[in-house]
Amino acid sequence: MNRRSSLRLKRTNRFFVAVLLGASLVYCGALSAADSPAADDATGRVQIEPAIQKVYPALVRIYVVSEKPSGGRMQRRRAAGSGAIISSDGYIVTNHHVAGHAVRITCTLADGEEVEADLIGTDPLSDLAVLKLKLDTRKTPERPLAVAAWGDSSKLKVGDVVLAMGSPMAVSQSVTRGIVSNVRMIMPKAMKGSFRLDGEDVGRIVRWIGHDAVIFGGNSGGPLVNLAGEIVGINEIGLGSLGGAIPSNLAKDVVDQLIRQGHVTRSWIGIEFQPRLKSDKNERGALVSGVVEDSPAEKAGIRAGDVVVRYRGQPVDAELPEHLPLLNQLVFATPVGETVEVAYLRDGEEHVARATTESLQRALGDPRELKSWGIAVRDITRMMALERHRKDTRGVLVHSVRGGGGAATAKLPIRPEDVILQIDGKPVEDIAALERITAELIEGKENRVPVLVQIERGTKQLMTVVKIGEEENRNRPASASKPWSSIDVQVLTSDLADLLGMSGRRGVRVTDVFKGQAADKAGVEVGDIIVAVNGKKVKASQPGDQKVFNAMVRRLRVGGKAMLKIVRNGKPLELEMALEAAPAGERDVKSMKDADFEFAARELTYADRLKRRIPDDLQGVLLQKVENGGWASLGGLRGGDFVIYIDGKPTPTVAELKSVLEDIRKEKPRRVVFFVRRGIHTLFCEIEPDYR
Amino acid sequence: MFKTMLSACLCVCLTAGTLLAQDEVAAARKTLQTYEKGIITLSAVLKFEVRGVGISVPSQERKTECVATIIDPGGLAVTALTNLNPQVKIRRGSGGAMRNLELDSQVQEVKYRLADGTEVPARVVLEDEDLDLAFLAPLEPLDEQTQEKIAAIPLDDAVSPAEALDPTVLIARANDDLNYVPTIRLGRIVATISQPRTCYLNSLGTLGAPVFDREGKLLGIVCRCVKSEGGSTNVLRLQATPKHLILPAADVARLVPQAKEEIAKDAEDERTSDEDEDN
Repeated sequence: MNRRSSLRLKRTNRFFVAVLLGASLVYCGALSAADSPAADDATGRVQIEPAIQKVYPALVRIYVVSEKPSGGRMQRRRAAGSGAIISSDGYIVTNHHVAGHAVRITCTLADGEEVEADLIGTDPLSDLAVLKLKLDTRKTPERPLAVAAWGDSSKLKVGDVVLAMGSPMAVSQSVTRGIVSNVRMIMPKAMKGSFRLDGEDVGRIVRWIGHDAVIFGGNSGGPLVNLAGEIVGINEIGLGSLGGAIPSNLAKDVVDQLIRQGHVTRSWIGIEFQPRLKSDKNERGALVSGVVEDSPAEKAGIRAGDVVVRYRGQPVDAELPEHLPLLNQLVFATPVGETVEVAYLRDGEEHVARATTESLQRALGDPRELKSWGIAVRDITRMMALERHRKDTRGVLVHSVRGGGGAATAKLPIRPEDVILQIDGKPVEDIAALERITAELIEGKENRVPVLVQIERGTKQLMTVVKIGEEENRNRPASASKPWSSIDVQVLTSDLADLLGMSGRRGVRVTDVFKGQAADKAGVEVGDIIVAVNGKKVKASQPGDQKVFNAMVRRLRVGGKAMLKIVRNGKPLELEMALEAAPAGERDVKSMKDADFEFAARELTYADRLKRRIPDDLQGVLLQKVENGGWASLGGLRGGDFVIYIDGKPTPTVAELKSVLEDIRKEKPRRVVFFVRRGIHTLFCEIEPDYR
Repeated sequence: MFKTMLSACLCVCLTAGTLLAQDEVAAARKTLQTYEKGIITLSAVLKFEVRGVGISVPSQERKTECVATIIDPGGLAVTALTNLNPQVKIRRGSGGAMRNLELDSQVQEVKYRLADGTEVPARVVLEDEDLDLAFLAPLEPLDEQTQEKIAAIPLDDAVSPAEALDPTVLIARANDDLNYVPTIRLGRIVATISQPRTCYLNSLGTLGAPVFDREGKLLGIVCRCVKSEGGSTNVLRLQATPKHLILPAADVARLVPQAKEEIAKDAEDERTSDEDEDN
């Protein structure tokens, strides 16, 4: 399946999952409220209580900051999921789609304690990942952890009572109850039988346990528990009113490998299976739908149309799509490098082929950002090469291109899906080579360096010149200095003029006078009608003329005077107002970025104080941007917060903010407390930065 | 007899009209010839990020190209701020839905693309959101060779005021698809606008491009110098705010000293920082 159709499938999947999950919630909500006879059943309580006692304390709410390539950068996102502690030294099982791309993980234990965790290993094909709690970051590291035990998923039967445990929508640990609805659930045909993560078809190996215990986004990675209080599944998907959990027997095997070696080893011989056709007269075996070019199976002579009946001596059968995951599991579980016998039927006769298994490679290489090029790239795996009809995996595939980077601004711009083959004549085997060559080329260079790049685009071999190096500084231009009126006005419409007894008059009515500013000093008052400026009539009489008065003032010279002709309480009046430069705007005030706390801050403008009603005597800086998923964001800070002090030290200006943060960087305290004003409220936010 | 005279009059009128039109075209061509090198393509990368309550969209970067007008032999150029500042564009182009969103935008990697294809790194030195103007200058002073590749369009030899139906000549440049060739179009002033400031609505326009009169004198620069107020949300606006507005050259000229001041200030800052490094 090509990449585009895989993406389309993903979207279809998400759509279905969202719609069907939504439907399931409504259905189950109604059921639990009205129809469930067990809702208040004391017997039911007795039945589930021991299981809850055993597993609930081991439940973990997981917050992750993940990175995903987009627009030539690795973009960060925040997500939440669930997991369970499965060992006393802090290993946690969860889904790959929760934590597989995490760069930062925080776990909230059942008692509310927050503990950081590391990603130990992840497996997109089974959608499982293993984390390990950083026990040294606990308040009391010696306190024992609650641990949940694995159960045997093969013993589950339709109708068994199960509990789904986790944190739907990242709420605190929760439990729902249901029954096993299906012990061999696969992706429905409506979803084209496929569920892909990082290019891997999860349904190729997983046959889900379908159940009706309500799950929702955030339950992912949480355990499905039997009444013995054992993990029999890892919740992963939702299909209508059914949740889908990865069976514990498969999960335990994957998790053990991830803990032991950080990855999962699987065998591959290059056969693609499908269920036997209805017209097929054979009553056993699995149909070979295709054989990958140059694979062990092809070398062994197996062809599309053959029906495999035995693999390593074990009978094989795939009459239904539900049988395929088990067959794939069988092949994947073979030791790598073993020569296996594959018995197959061709034209009614049984043949035996011998194929030596190879290691199954990932569908997609890991993405990486190359800042100096302005691109995000992937290594080319064998499957990617095959899908692109390439002979080998040499080169680096461009995932996406940043608008302003060297790659995008080259005269022949580099595009997504291009493959970088050579730089200045040096072959680029993979990302490591690309990074090494780049580092050699730009080392010690202040300006961008033009390099000759050979790229593959479809069947073409193109050459281009890319200027690689540091990103250029942003351009912060000055704003034109012009006088301002220091008042707010509204148009004196003819209706208003009539009822104010000023029929026929044109001008503007003062609605606000900014305290202490030029107009205030000149004696302008709210309610004054300004009819002329320096002898020129203010020709404003319709709502569209709102800007006329300010435009008149802005045409004058800073440092000069404006004679305002005013009508106050029906009496004419003339006031002389000094013309002062408009206060600095957002772009003109000092600003800074902090890489440790991951926010951008700036000083307040006059307009900020007015808009936010911040009193003059309250000093601080405004958080302009809080990096999504950054430490400041995780600590609860938001863009727009007004920082008054940090760890008790005031931060009235950007310079002082910088100085306070510098001191903090030297001392590296575990937690830093920001005191901020948000709207009319004040609050403390505790940030736990990872000092670089 | 009467019919003959009428026919003769018509012939004279048509011939005169044709001759007049030919004159107009010839004059416009001459204007293009004179100022072709004063119209440059500006390329820049816009980085912007939309924020709002509960929203934090990853930053986006887009390369943009637009037209700018050289107004000084040293390479000072002017364009419509809307071309370079999506913040301004969104604020002007949207109604209430965007009101609660914040847009942080930055411009980087600005370059002049001169008539012969030479690229000159540049920067924005001054912005005027009110008039929708951005002034730009080369990062380094232009050498003699590069100076010969540009032609400054004088702001002080501008015509004023214009009247409705006055003929206009708009010079701009095509985009990369057409290899940035200079373009010329004949138009007319459609309306003169006096509120909140004097400007002219032209029958055609390209943001940042200069507009001349028939004599080849500069009338002004095309920009969105009258902002949409957004209006009442209950009012269906049948017509969008016109885009082909010409800001008179005198208004542009008034800001030139400030732009030059900023250039001098930056040069001084750079000199000081170089000295600090040397020390």
